[in-house]
Amino acid sequence: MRNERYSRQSFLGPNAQGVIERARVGVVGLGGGGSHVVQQLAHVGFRNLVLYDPDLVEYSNLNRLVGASLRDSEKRATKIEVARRLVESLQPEAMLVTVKGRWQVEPGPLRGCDLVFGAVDGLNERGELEICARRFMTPYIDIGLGVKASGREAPRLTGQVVLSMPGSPCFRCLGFLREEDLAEEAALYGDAGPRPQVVWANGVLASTAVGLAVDLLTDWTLSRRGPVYLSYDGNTGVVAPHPRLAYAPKGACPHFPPDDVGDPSFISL
Amino acid sequence: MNVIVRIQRQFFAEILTDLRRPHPVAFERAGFLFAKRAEASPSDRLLFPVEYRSIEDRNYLEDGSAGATFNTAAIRAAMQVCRTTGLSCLQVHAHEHEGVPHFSQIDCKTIDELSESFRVVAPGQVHGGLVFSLDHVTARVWTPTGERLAQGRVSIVGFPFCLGPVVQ
Repeated sequence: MRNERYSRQSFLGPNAQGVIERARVGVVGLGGGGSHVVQQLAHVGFRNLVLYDPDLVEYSNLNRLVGASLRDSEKRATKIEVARRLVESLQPEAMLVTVKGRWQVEPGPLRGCDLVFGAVDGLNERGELEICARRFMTPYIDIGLGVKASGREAPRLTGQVVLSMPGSPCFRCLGFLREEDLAEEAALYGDAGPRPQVVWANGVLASTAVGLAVDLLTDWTLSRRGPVYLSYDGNTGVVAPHPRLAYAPKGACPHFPPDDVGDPSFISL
Repeated sequence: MNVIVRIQRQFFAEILTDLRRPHPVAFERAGFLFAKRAEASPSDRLLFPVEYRSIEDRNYLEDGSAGATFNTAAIRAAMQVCRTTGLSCLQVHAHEHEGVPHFSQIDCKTIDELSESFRVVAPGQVHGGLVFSLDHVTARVWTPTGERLAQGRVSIVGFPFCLGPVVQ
């Protein structure tokens, strides 16, 4: 039965499905991007998931929240409930750890993950999640989407998929997290306003991210990829390597030394 | 208890290169890995190897009964690192093949005896051994109290990400 179910993805390799089933994957943020990721993970066969989100389903989420229904918004279901229902409908024997809250409140399950997806709001949140992922030597795939409108020009729909791999260039090395952008975000704290999000663009980013994760775990492309920083132009529909990749440092990441791992501890001087 | 060991791909490659160097009298080489720790839950412990010490050439003994036999000076040196740092210690060696490697009986005996020694100088830590193949790593690790073997799994973190099997 299992072979038949996944026969269309058998090109991933003879051991791929076993690896996919054993891998423990975290998803932080179950909104427009994260809900897409969770759905695809369940379809591909991931059964060991750790899910974080503090929010309830709102009426305005329904334009993009995969798995959510009108009834979920009426009864103010949690996004966790929606994700759980979605996963269990495809993977009844899935081992799910769900946290209705911020990951910082209960980080233990996240530490045990082999791979983490982040679909969070804001650059600072991404920076915090990367610090955690690096400390516990976990690859972290970030997805994000934004819309910028200026004057009479058409709004620009843009997004990114970035991999933070321990031992490789980090978000700062790649120019994805920059001090000036973090400062700008901090200055706007509490005045973010509605964040534009659309289901089709989130779908592109989630699909790209899940494809990256499957390649990472199964090595089916044999590509031995280096740093991954993909930019998405939602106006043209093009996903391409980000121009900043050309300037990524070739050596070790100076922001996360290799021995800066594990539980922080005092050192005798 | 479940013990998950995560080692960076670049570090794995460097250690493997060292272990594959020929030796005048030993058939294979061995070394010691020292690892920091973290807890994911009361029953899940993570180990992150951060330092590797190769066994010096002069500390190998001529002994046809095993691939590599080393003297007490090699063990004392590793115990000293454990005592000074409080880190976990994992004895490592390599098997020359691809795929999941397995411990021999003599590997298990050696690792179990060494773990007991390391527990004396760094109590409360997970100690044990790793066997490398050319692309996988398998762990044999003891619970911090030394009462029983833990479930061990080793991941090689990089692209590709190698998710090792669970072994007890």
